[in-house]
Formats: sequence, structure tokens, C-alpha cells
Amino acid sequence: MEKIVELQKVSKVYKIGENEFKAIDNIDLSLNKGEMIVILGPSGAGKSTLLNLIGGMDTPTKGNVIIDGENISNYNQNKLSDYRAENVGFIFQFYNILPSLTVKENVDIVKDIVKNPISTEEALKGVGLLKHSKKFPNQLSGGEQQRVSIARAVAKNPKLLLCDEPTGALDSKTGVEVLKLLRKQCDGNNGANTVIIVTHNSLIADIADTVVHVKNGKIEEIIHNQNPKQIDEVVW
Amino acid sequence: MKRLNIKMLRDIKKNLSQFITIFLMVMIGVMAYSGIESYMDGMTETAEKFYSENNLQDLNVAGANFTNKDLDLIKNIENVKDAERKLSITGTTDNDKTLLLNFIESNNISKFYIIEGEQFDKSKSGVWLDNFYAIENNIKVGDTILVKYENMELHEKVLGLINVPDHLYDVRDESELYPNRKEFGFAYLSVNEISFQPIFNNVMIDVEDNNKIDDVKIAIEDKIENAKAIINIEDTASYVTYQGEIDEGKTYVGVFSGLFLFIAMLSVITTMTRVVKNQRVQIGTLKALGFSDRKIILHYIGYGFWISILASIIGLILGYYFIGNIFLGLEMAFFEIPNGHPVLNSQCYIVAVCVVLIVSLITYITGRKILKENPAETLRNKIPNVKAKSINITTKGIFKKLSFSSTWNLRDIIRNKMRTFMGIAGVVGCCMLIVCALGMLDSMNFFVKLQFETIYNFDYKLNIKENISEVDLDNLYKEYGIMTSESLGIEIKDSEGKRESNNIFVTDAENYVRFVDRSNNIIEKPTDDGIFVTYKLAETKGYKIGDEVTWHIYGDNTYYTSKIIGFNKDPQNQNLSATKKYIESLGLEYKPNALYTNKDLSNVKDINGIDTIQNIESLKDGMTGMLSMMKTMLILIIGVAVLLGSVIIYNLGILSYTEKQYQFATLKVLGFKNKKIKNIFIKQNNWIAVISIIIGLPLGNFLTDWLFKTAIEEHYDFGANILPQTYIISAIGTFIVSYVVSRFLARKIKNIDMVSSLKGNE
Repeated sequence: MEKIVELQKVSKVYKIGENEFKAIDNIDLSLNKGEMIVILGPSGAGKSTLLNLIGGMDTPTKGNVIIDGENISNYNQNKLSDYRAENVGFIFQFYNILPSLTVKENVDIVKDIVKNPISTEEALKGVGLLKHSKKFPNQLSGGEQQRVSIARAVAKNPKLLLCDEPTGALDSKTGVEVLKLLRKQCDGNNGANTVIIVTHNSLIADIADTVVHVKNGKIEEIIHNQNPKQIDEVVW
Repeated sequence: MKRLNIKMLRDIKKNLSQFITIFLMVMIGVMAYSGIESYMDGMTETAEKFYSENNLQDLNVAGANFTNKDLDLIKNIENVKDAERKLSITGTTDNDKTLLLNFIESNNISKFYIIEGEQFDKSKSGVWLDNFYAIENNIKVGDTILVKYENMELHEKVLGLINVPDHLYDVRDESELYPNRKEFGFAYLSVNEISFQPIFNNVMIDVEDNNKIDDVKIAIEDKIENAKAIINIEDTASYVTYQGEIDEGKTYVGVFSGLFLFIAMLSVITTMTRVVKNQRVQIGTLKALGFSDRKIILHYIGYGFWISILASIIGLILGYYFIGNIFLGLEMAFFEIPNGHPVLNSQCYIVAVCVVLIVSLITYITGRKILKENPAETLRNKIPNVKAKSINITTKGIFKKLSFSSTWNLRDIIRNKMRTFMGIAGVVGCCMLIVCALGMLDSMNFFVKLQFETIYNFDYKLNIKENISEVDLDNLYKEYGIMTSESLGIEIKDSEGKRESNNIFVTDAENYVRFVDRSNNIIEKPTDDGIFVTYKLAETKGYKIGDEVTWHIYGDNTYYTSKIIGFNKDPQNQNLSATKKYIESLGLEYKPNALYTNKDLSNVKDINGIDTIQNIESLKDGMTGMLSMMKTMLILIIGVAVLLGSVIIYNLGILSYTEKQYQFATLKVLGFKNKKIKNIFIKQNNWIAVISIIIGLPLGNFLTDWLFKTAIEEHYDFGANILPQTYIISAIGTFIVSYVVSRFLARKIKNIDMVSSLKGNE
């Protein structure tokens, strides 16, 4: 299968005062295009750092991050901005939608940075929020806010949809709805879209095509699910 | 960028009170600056235009009798463009007002500005009258007035109401400060109107090249025997007083408006920094979405840029139309000059642009700092970087005994040093301005008292006529006493031969006119072996006791060298003083021109041999009149200071409230009562107010003293004399403003929604 993400001997070291903290420790990892991938691990394992490196939100201290054949490790901030704009859709645990813009405007905003976005209506329809398009974020529930965040990410038509604990702030039922939307994104576009979910919730791992177990900044195990669970079967 | 612009507008709306305070602070700062600047520039430009269009003379030559031949000789001196003679005498009217009568042959120098009526024409019979005097006395063009000089009585029709460039400021004599236009004015008549052979005692000269004016003076001294005193126009009372007002104002511009702007900018910078910092996570989100740093930074610069540009424009407009017009109007009621209007010069625009640039730059720097971080880092809320060492202080020693609220506030201050510093700086500035404005009034009142109660110790001053006969003088002595003085116009020559106009006060008035020392205590009058010099003049010239001063009286080229035997303080004049005996010991004849008496002259209108009778109370009123003009300006300044102070305290209060909202919500969740939380909040603001007052009061004194020493015209010697109650009023006033604003903000605490506040922090 075609590789979308390749990490070669990647490390990320943070300096906290005079101490160094290795968030990622010499990792090698390959992820396939068009899959739904779950990065699983306890708090502080380095999952979010890994996601940030893949998404060009952070740069490695050592090693290469190759996305779709392009090594982004040495990109400067401008190139990283372009990379994020054209290739990556982010979904965060606390949604991070802009509170002073309406639902529609929050999705519309990607038109300022992406050359070929999908239409806002289509994106909102996809997440079932078309009827709320004129509302402000504070008028929506947590699940609805996360759906706006998905719509915004999807509207960019990205190669990679990176989700950092997307269901972390949601109840089980709403979480399942969100996961369904993510799966839909992954299955659409003739398998060209890859979704990477970072979570500490092991139950979510069952729906993934590939599960990457991370612990103490290292890859502990990579499991390829031959028969991922249906999302409706997942309950937490 | 369309959506980002929408976001900006909504963010502004959402944080409206913060942006309104930013708007107000920039607006008030720019308004104060441009207002004061525009009135100063208005005064300068109005005068320059008036002087140039109406051909103000460059030199005044005073003498006994300038003949036609003298005039021709003067006109033929190299570099002299034109010269005109005039006879200037002090006359009266039928209702005992004083008029400075000027009989002229032509009017090409110091030309009239006709407010109403006709142009000057030598062949026309009538009078061109001082416009202010005419207004005060309700005299109209076409009316007939009676003017008297000794035995001459002229019934003259008013042909015009005029302003004249060398009569912007006119007082009856130097002991008056404020022009009394109802009692004293000037009038111009054709020389043909005079019933006797005119004796021209004045020549006005217009020169080609001002750089060579000293050569003209030397030539006049050589060629014109009748010339007694040659005075540059820049040394005449009208010019000096007007220019002094501008120079004074220029210091105000620098100090008051600069301070206003500085305080406002400090506060705006703090607020803008906080506004941008509060958007940290949103900046991270935009970065994560793929927005370039340039787009994000431009978006955030917009927050400061648009608000400050709008505020600056409105500040400029209000400064010009509101402050500029009010201040200029006050000045124009004092100085007789036409077409006074404020002027917004390029400097005002430059300052306004700088304000916009600074606000934008600060936004840029703050945004840039956040943008430099990785988006991953930006998305995390930043915890203030506090050195454990400084926080640890609050856990030791006397701090251990502090109440929870005090400890909490102390730690909050340590965590937010910059915000606290800005808060203190803002309140200190406002407290200083209030002390300074009120202190200036105190100091002026003090000097009225010093001048008219300590130094002047008489009820009436009689100005003796120049040509008084011996008999009349003896009669005056018999009737009103022998306390007299003589003021003589002199020129002081320094060691390099440079000459400067001044005067010497010769006293034979015992303790009717007293001398005071630096501390305002009465000192012995000068002894008879030298001269006294006023402190300020001594400081300017570097004189020490025992030094010698070389001088000559105008009209007499004999130079005298006098030893300085002491210093005295004079709030109004910086000059030399000597006793009658000392002057006589130099071989000079003592001819008194003022007599002081304590006799009741309230019903006496005319005394033989006396030009004018001045009541000490009316002299005092003149000074009080000048004070009232100043008072209006200072009240405006205090008003703006209080307004600015309130806005700053409100702004910093709201900043501190917004930042503490999460903590207050936590306290609420824990079960703290609203009242308790309010007290915690108000306590910190009270601390800031008290610290600011402690710093602001002495700084206010310092500022007042500095202003008086540098801004006031050269011939005044004032210092800060601020009453204790002024400090108390300023302290209480500042504290009340701070407390009221804090209480107003504290009302928000009861509306804190615990759930959304805590969630919002996530």
C-alpha cells in the first residue's frame, strides 16, 4: 500500500528549565494512505507530540518526517503553514473553533487559505449542521461544536485528517457520531483520505485499520485490524 | 481576509469595554496633545500673520523731540526700510478712563487692522480707537468721545475700531499684570488734531535685514542726539508678553499633553498586549489551519490599528475644535489680535500617526512573540512565568501573618508585575496632574499674597508725571508722605560688551515696598553701597555677591559699575534695586516717579502732578484676573486628568477582572460569598491607588515647581507653593476615583457564571 506518513529515527526533546524531556524517542513509523489509524497510549506517552510532528505543528529535534514523499522536517515556518493549509485538517479535543465567527463562517474561513476547498454547504451538510449555520459556537452543544470542527477540517479536502482526542470531551453517544463522521471522511474520496486519531481510549482502537501503541515516547506495538469493528458497536 | 475581518469586528464587539477604553485613552491623549499644540501654534501663526501683514516695527526709538531732520537721517541709515514718528502721551477721557494717545503722520508701520470703520487718513478728523476698550465701554463707530491731555480737550468722532500689532497687550504700568480694557486703552489720531506744536517722542523703524539691526542701533546712537532709548520690538511689553505666553504654552505642550499621551499609551500598550495574549489559542488554531504568520499578524495588527486610527482622527478633530478653540478663545480675550484660530500643524499629525504606529507595533510585537512559538505550543494556555523565589517571599516572615485576601493579592501582583506597574504608572500620572493643576493655582495665589501683601505694603500707588514741578512735588510730599521710588530703564553691559535691556528700581520707600529673601521672609532694604539683584536674574547671569554690574540709563551714555551687595526675590520683575542714596552717590539725580501712601483716596479722582492713582486692590484684581484665565485652563486640564485617570483605572481594573474571572469562579465554586470576593478584588486596586498616591504627590510638587521655573516667562520668579489641603484633596480625589471604579467593576462578580467561566478557561 502507498505510504502517506513515514517517520525515520524521529526524536523530540523539550527543555523544561534545565531539564530535558524526551517526548518522542527515536521512532520509526510508516502509515498507509486511506486508512483510519488510531494512535493509542496513556497520558504523557507522546501521542499528541507525534500527531503535531505529522501535522507540521512542531518540528522534530532529530530525524525525518516524510509526508506523501515530502520531507517536512526541514521546512521553515512559511512552508509549514502552506503544508498545513493544503494537506492537513486538524480536529482538537476542545474543538478550537473561533468563537466570534458563526458556524458557516468558521468553515468558510478555510477559503482564505486553500485553493480547492469543498463547498461550505457540503461540509456542513456532511456533519448535519446546515440548519445551524448561522449560529455562534456558544449556542451549540459540545458535540455540535466538534462537528463544526470536523466540517472545517473536511472543507479543506485534506490528505490527512489529524484528530487529537476528538471524543475526549464528549459523551459516548456523541462521540460515536463524531467517529462515524471521521470514518465517512476516511472512506470517501476513493480512499485518498487518511484519518489519524490520537486517543487514550482503547475502545476506539477497535474501529481502526491500524493501531499504533505508544508508551514513553516509543512505539510499543503496531496492530493492523483485518476486520475493524463497526462504529455502532463501540460503547464507552 | 474577509472572515478574519469579521472575526476582528466581532472580537472587538465582544471585548467592547476594553476596546472603548483603548479608544478613549488614545482619543484623550491625542486630543490633549493636539488641542494644546493647536492653540499654541494658532497663537504663533496668528501673531506672525498679524505682525507681517500689518508691518510691525523692528525698533522703537524713544526720545525728547524727533524733528523732520531726525526722521530723514534715520530713513537714510543703511538697512532702514522705513520710519514713522509719533507722539505718544497718556490722556484721559471725560469719565476718567486712561487712553494712550498716539498722534501720527502716516500709518505704514504698525498698520491698523480695521475691525469696523475707515482706514487711517491724516486729513481726517477723528479717532481710531482700541477695539477692546470700545467694546468694554460700549463705544461705537460714529460716537464722539472726549479726550484730554493737560489743558487740551479734543472732541473726536470715532472713525474706526482697530487692532494694532504693537498693542496686543497693554497695561497702564508695569505693576499691573492683567490689562483692564475698561479703564485703559489706546487711541490713534492724526497729528493734525493736536492743538499745539507736536513733539514727537517716538520713532518706529522698519529694517530690511534683521541680522544687521545692531548696526542700525549704533548708527542712530551716533547720528540722532534726541534718541534716548532704542528698543528692539522683541523687548517691548506687548511682544514679550505674547511671546512669553507662547513659550509658556510650549512647555505645557511638552509636559501636560506629553504626560497625557504617555499615560494613555502605557495603558493602551498594556491592554493591547493583553488582548492579543488572550487570543493565544485562537492564534494557534489559525496557525494549525494553515494561515501564514503574515496573515495572522496583519489580522491582529488590525485590532490596534483601526481603533487607534479612528481614535486619533477624532482626537485631532476634538483637540482642534474643542480644546484648541477654548484655550485660544481664552487667550484672545486677553490679547488684542484679530483672526485668532487654532492651527493643526504637521507635528500634530505626526504624533497621531506615531500613536497609531506604536499601538500597531506593540500589537505586532506581542503577536510576533506568540507566532514564533510552534502552533502546538501556542495551542496550550500559557502559565505566567513566575520565579519561585519571588512567590516564596510571600510564605515567609511577616507575610505568613497576612490574611488570605492579602496573600492572594500579593501573589497576584507578583505574577502580574507588568500590569501592576502600568496601573501604578497610570494612577501616578493622573495624581501628579491633579496635584500640579491645583498646585499651580495655590502657587499663583501665594504669589499674589507675596506681591501685594508682603512686598507691597501700601494702599495706593501714585504715578508721578514726568514733568512735575518742584512745587507740585513738595505739595505731594506734604499731602501724601515721602515714600517714593523711581524706576529707570537701563541697559546692562556684560563682560563681552553685549547689552541687554533691564531696569533699576530705586527705592526711598522705606518699608512701603519691601524686599524678601528666597524663603519669602522680609529682609533689610539694600544698604547704600551697592545694588541688589533679583535671584532669578542672578542665576541667569551667574552673578555672585561682590560681583560688579556695568549699566547705563537710557538717554545717558554714562556707564556705572555697581557692586552686588545682596539678592532679593521679586515674583514679577527680574531687575536691579538700589537706594536713593546709592544712586545719588553715583552722581545721578533722584527723580521719583511713584509715591506710595496709606491715605484713603477712594473718592479722589485727580491729583495735581499725578498721572494715575492705583489702588492696591485693583492691582491685586489685575493679577486675580490673570489667574481666572489660568484657572479655566487648569480646570480643563484637571477634568481631562480625572477623565483619563478614570478610564485608565477602569481599563486596568477590567483587565485584572478578566484575568481573575476564572479564579473568582473557582472561589465561588468553593463557597466564597460574593462580598468576600469583591473585597479581594477591591483590595488590590486600593493598594495600587495608595502606592500611586504616595508616589504621585511628591512628583506633582516636583512637576509644578519645574513648570513654574521653566515655563513661566523669564521676568517671573515663581516656585511651587502647594497647600497641604491640595495634597489631601488630590489624594482623596485620586483614591475616590479608583475606589468608585473598583466598586463599579466589582459588581460584575455577582454575575460570574461559574460553569461557563471555568469552561471558558479550557
